Amino acid sequence: MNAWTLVRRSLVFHWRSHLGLLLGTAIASAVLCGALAVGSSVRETLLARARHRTVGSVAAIQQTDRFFRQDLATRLTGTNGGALGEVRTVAVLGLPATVRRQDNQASANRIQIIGVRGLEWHQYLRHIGQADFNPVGQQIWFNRALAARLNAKLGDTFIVRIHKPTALSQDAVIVPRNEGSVALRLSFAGILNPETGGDISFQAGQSTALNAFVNLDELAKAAQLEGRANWLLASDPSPGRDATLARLESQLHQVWQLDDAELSLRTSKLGDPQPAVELSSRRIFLDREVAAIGFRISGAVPILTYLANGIGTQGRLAPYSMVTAAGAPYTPIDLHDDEIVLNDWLSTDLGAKAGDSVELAYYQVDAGSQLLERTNRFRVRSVVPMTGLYGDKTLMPEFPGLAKAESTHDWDAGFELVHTIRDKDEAYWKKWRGTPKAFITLNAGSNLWANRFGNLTAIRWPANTGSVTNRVNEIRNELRKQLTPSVLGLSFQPTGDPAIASATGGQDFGQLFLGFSFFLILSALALVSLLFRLALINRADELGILLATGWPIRRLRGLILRETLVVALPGVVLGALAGILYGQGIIIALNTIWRGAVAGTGLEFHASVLDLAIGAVSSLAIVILTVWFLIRGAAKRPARELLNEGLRESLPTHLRPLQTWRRALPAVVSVLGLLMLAASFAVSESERPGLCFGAGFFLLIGLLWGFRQRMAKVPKSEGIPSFASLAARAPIRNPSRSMTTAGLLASAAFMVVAIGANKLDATRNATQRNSGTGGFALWAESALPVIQDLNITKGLDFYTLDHSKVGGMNVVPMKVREGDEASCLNLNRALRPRILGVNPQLLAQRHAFTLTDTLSGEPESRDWAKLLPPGKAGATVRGVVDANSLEWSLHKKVGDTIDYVDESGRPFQVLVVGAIANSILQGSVVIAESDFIQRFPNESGYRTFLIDAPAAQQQSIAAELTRGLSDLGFEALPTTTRLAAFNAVENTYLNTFQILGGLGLLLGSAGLGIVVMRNVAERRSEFGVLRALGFQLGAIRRMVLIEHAALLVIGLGIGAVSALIAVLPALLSPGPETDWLSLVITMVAILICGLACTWFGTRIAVTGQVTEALRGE
Amino acid sequence: MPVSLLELQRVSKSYLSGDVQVPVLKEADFQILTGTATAIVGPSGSGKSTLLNLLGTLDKPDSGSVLLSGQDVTRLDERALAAVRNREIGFVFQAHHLLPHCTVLENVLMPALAGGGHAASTTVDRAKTLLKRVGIDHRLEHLPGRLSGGERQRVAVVRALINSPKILLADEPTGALDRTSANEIGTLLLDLNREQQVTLVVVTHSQELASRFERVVEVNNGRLTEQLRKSPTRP
Repeated sequence: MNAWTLVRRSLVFHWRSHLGLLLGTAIASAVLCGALAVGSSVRETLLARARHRTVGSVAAIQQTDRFFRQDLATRLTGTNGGALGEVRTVAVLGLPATVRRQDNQASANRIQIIGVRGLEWHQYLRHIGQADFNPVGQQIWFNRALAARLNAKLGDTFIVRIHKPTALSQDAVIVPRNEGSVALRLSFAGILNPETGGDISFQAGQSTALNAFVNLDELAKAAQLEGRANWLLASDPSPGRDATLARLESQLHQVWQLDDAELSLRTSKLGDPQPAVELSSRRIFLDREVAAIGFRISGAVPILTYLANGIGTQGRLAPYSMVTAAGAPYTPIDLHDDEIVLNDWLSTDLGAKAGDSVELAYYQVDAGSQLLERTNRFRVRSVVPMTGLYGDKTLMPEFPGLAKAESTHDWDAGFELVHTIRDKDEAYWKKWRGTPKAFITLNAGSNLWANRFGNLTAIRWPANTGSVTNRVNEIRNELRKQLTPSVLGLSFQPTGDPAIASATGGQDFGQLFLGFSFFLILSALALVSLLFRLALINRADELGILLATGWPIRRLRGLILRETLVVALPGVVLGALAGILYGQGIIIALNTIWRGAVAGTGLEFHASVLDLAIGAVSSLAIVILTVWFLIRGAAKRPARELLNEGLRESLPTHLRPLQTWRRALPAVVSVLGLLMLAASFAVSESERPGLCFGAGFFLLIGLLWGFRQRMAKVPKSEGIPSFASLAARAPIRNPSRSMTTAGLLASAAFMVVAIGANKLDATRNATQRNSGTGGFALWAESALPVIQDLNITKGLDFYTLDHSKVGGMNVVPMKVREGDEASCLNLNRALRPRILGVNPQLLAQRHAFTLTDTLSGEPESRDWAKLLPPGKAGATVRGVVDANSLEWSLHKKVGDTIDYVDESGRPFQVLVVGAIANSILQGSVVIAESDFIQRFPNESGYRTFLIDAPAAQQQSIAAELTRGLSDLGFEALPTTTRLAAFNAVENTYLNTFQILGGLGLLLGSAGLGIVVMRNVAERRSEFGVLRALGFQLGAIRRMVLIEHAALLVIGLGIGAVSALIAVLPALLSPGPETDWLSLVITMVAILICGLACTWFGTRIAVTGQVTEALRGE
Repeated sequence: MPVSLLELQRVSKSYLSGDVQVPVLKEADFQILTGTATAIVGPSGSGKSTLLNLLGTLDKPDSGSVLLSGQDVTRLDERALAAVRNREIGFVFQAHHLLPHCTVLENVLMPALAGGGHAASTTVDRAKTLLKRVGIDHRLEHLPGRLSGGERQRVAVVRALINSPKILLADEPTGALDRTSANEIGTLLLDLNREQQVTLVVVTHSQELASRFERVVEVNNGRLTEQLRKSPTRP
């Protein structure tokens, strides 16, 4: 016989209590392992999505409105003798589009159409995956998500409308308005799997992009982008991604050509017979950086040629004339900025001669559809003949819609031609095309037409006859030498690492579910503690005997710990196995009933051995610690006491003379909580919830502690005692048990109230401006930019909108720069969120949304106009972000900055100056439109809209807008629907927490039932005496019920009061009102559940004959 | 002239011990007169406590009748029996069974609360008087945990008398006490028997205590044998 024999015997003899220990341990282990497995599952799913999204790329060039030459990909890897080693590259063309079935049975807006060549795609992927993927001709392939959305079957026909990029931004005046998109009729040929690049996307988000794949050449042809691409992916199987990025950049510097930046050098002339070299851009205006560098090359003649709406004098008007702004030799060196040189055609037409005054009317270049016309007065300096320098048709840039027009009648200038075009104007166009009719200084021209796209339309350098080609090469080399390709948007950005960082840097679902399961774990441990404590009470004699026979305390503790270990070990193993099921159950729930929490992401279960090991070891350690803590106290008792009195808690005999400071501790903790509450009103609103939650938690601890101390006091008879008052005092008989019960219930109530008060309802106060909808009725997005102003008749007419159906509508348009989805609908960490550019005055006038926190913290600073004043070029941009997005998705706070890269590849920062309370603006950074235009001048038009609409017309307005702007992929939905989608995430989290908490409460209730039965069992003889004294069975049951009901009420009360403090910010916030009715119902349900458990325990325990009970004494 | 207060008529009672039916009383006849003091003695397991439980309506006989003031209580339901016990019978047990979370006074008042609600002020006064009588009126607000064994038992005695019962049944009231305390409790019970005119029936192992009673009944082999005493020993 040895100690193990004792352990073995004990296991058999005390099997009931050990079974409880085993089950409690298994539950704790299962919950821990399951929660960790959920974390791994989410992480692994997101990582897989990230890998699919980046198609194995380590870096990529991604342009939205610039297009490099497709052969850049082969130049990168094919030049310089394999400097890039194993790196593979592929150039693709990706454009926004909409798609619908030909039979109109299904459609999808906001898709990406991607032009690839099958062979190049397979080479890039190193021939892994679908060998049959090769889009040719009129074929279209979809990724799985899009195929499912469209219910696509082989051979089905689809109409795809693609955004056709224009040389000039749609915000420019001279840009065709009717050529923004082109429709293609294509036949579905198959599905491109995620592993083969089907889900390619540059935005971090777990929701799969909707992608369609077509032949690169076909797409480029349709978009009039022959030979061009805008995405270049680079993969490298070798380690050292930083080095790869550096090598790619270095190689790019060596192989890029001016044409990759849409620049062209051609031979030209500076009058007859002076040959020249001209630098121009497919984008009409030369980028400022290009212009600056070109200007520095000797002999440069900068030129700006643009359209004047009219040049007139004394009642005569020459409509729509090109005017060139340039220095010598086009204009005299001493020409003043208010002087103009006319060609003799115009001079004749206007009857103007040197010294006369003429007026020049023009549209502000980048005012888009607003058509802001201005007028300047010039004095005629001289009149020049239309020969040599002044008869040069090539001075007019290749304005889209104009350059190729045979007749003025064919012009598609993008604006209404309000001036009559005369026959002589038509004749001029046919003979002279866009030959400028007037010349002004470059400075004067800049004042008229300088814009966000650039200041020059060309630079010319004189060249010697016979050496023009040399001069072209010379200038090309000089430009390539001095220009950095990144300022022209040619820059590799890392993709693989940020995608992984994004996938792993988001919300840790392991921790989240550990938090959600906290109450469940706590309940399991409380149950373990309770059962073990009761088991120890039963075994007091045994402990006493062992001590009496000379067992050292340490050995005795060791014996019990060994027993515990023998029971707990299979418990944790069982728990780990159950944890797999628990984790799978949660994943299934997250894919079904809780899918709102993960925004519909299809999660795949993934549990690693490490997760299970960590969960099992942690739960074992916690259980062992709990047991050690319990036996530490028990084994301290002397053998005599154990043998005579057992381990029942010593009942109060007198007022324990607690030292004042100890007596004051609960009050101190409670006061600390109240001080935190008071302090919360002095801090910023973003810090308030944390302080209030702390205050509530301290109050919970303080009140429970106070209750525990109160139970240690001798009660005093107050007046004539009553049956109920005596019964209600019973909890002091077993303070620890009573405390466990009250503590569990207080925690449950705390959780229920705290969660309930934070649940969100999108429909409440939705019409109020300070609500999450901003008081707007509709939220709309379009795949392609809306250029026309939807607030004016002209705009409505342009889109053939029925005025009667959209009456009363008022639109706040926003510009969009795509980026990571930073709302709670994205489980990944957003690194560069989408940017919305809005005119802050439009939101300020409406007092839309509630700014909960601002940089200065002052209430008066909560004004959109003050928060987002127009910034200066180069300065940090001020931005406002939804508070939830800021905290949970970006992991930032007001005052922090977010790094971005502008359209030209220049880094800039957005300083977060304000946070908005839970709103429909989640997921984006809102900046002033003026700042947006400076950073992203080519993001034309508007793609997101906040729409005010009378309640009765919301549906008709949404329907009419969707109809009228269907070619642009316009979709309008009620703001409450959008907000509800965001709220669903938080509400689902809260529901999850409540459900898991509810499981914990069930365990707690089971514990309560056990406590009741145990209490009653210990008092059977006492109840026997009461029955002998004339108490009826019902009265005794009632007494037991009252005893435990008192505990229930105290526990629930403490929890509820503390929780109300914790959620004070939510209660005081101007957002949706708390659903008190549900809260009260839930609390009552908990009370009833607790009472039911008590009643059940009482019914079981308070039975039997009086004589049996008395015999038990 | 004393009248019959409690009477057993041809009462039989047995209980199951494992699979064996063990007879405790066999058609026993027994009568207790008003105001008398009776001790019931016998070896362990002889059925003393069973007899006391039958007398106190805590148990029902297998056959025969138990008459209390002429009423056959075996025919009463549980509710009526509880009322009878509460009004007419007082119990004292070997273990005092005081409620540990209630004060001395509250414990004494417990029987008065059996119907629910508050104790009447006259009952409170009576409790205080009785507690004074037993010498622990200075401990009214104390919890049982602070009392000695003898004091606790005295509180239990007062609790048994609070509703002015006709009969006081005590099951080994001195069994858990030291000799001095046992003597004091024995004396107290007998004094109260005289002073309060309460009929007293005590089950005891103690021959010393039994010798102080005017009537001693021995239970043995299911039979009751009366031991007539000429003059009870008084301490």
